[in-house]
Amino acid sequence: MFVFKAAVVGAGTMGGEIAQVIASTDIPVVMKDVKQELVDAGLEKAREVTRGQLASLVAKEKIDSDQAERRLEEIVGLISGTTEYEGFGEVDFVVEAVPERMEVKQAVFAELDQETPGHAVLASNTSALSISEIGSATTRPDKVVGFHFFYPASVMRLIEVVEGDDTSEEAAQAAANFAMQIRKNPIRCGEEPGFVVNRVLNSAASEIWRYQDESGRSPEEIDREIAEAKVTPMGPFFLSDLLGLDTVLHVAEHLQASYGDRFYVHPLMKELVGAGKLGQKTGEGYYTHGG
Amino acid sequence: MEAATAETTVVERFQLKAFSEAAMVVDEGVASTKDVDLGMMMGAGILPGPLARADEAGLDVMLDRLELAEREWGDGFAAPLLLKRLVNQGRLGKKTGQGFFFYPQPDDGFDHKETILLETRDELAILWLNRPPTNPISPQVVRDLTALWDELEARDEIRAAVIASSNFAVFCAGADIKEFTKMTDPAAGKELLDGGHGVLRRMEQSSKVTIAAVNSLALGGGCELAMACDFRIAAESASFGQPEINLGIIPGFGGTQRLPRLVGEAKALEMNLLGEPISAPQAYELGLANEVVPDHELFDTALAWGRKLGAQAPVAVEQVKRVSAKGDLDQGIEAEKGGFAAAFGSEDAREGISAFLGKRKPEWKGK
Repeated sequence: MFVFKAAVVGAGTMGGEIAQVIASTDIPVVMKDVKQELVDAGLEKAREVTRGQLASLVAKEKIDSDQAERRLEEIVGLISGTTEYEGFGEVDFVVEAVPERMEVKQAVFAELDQETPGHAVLASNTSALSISEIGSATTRPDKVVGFHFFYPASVMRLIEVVEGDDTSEEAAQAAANFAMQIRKNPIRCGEEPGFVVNRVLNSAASEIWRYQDESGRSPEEIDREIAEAKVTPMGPFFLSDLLGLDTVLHVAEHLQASYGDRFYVHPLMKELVGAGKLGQKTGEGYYTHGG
Repeated sequence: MEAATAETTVVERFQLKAFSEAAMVVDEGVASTKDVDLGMMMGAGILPGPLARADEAGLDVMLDRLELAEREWGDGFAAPLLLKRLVNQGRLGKKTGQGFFFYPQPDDGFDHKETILLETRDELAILWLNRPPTNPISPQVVRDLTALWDELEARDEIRAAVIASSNFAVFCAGADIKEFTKMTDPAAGKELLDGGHGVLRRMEQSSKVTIAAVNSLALGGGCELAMACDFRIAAESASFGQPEINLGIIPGFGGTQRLPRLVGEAKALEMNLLGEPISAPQAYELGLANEVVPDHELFDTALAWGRKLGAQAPVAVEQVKRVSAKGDLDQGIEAEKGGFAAAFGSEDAREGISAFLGKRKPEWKGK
């Protein structure tokens, strides 16, 4: 399988970042969403990220500002937006990044099965859902694979390449090779809930959440200790705020339901989410974020 | 964990739980040791990864800490089966040479080479590729390998050699491109090629058996080094490839010759012309890898092959190796040397290497 052209379904922030990652390695990419404003938001995100990356190259004097300007247009020019499946007839690799609901994913994959060539690998950026179940909506479950980026995709180097029951070795390896082609580092794993990173991180964070409940100490204080011990780059409460408490809560509940009580759902997190305090994106979560 | 303060408690709980969950992921076959640690390093900024960190602390110590934690904080800290098994095996981590990963324990009193360390265990030698970050093959590596092979040849008691990497994340990523571009003297280039081929060919014709323990990426010269060994044992997460073509050059240490002999003309041409790596299971299917095992079983498996083969009759081993369908290899290698020189001296090679180093797409001129 060779990737001459790729597609991203689901624009917005994550889709825009993913399209940018692909385009910045000189691969044309078509980005689709249901509404033009979402497509536009994705394109704007890609432009903003590219501009930032090129600015740092200019600051390091690796390129001059004229070259940066040309390169910006070149990269952004490789991304085309659509609200239909225009251009999907010639893509080789699709990354789906639509909302994390099985029925939504399955509907998209059924459409992709019809809109893309038979050889195309259909990859999902899901962080939680079963690849086997997603693949069952298509006639090519052997070519359906998980392709889990980390946030923000333009910065984080890791991709979890996730195999479902029916994923072929060829498709999984093709996905790993495509990850390297777009200058990311793939790891391969099974589709058990949380895959590798979210599972291990949440299991460890569960202890912190439990400890916070037991001790009543403040999240800031605990974060500081974790960071000072150089266990992780930032404390779990601050990290949760950055990722969005609704997202983190959703993952935590899913993992607890899957693995039982060694995973923990932090009551305070639930409370905050209930009150619409979702972390950095709403200005308040465990922390108050400067506006 | 005596007299735990609030601070040590919270840190201990976090770290122990991350470790035991990571070990469970491996135990359940969800991901390999290497991929778990790389994932946690790159995806969560946990450096080193939880398994390497446990190897460093000692797996017996980790087991004790988990047992204490289980009493203190509950079932969530139950020690994973894999951890108990490794401790029972005496694989206690770095201090014993093996835990989740494996580590060199170079021979005392040996005048070690710069890029390859020697460890001997009775009739078995382990040659540890040891050139951070990715064990790239430089002229020095070729010199060191040659000197070490001289050394092994002089030791009759050594019957088999395992080639392993001291870096858990890579076997050998190929030639040191930067060193190569610095070599402007054609005589030095010829010396490197002749030297490299010379030692690989001697390994192939020796009465000592060679086994590559391929733990991760074996690309370009790394794949060629593995192919020049008699056997390749691959970790599940390993991969093999000849990506030279992407730089406008061609394999220079036997890739055009040994690969077709191992996997057949069609697949060899595919790998040499497409330059895309294949996975360990694919390599096994093609006959490139003799056996594929979980990452954490790789080193024990390679040692077992070494032990078995090292006990075979030396003269018979040597004769089998000499006559085994490799009669025309020398001629093929000469042809490859000519092809390598032609490709390496081309404008395309200059463009390909500079594009690779500059992380951009090359523009081929066909010259």
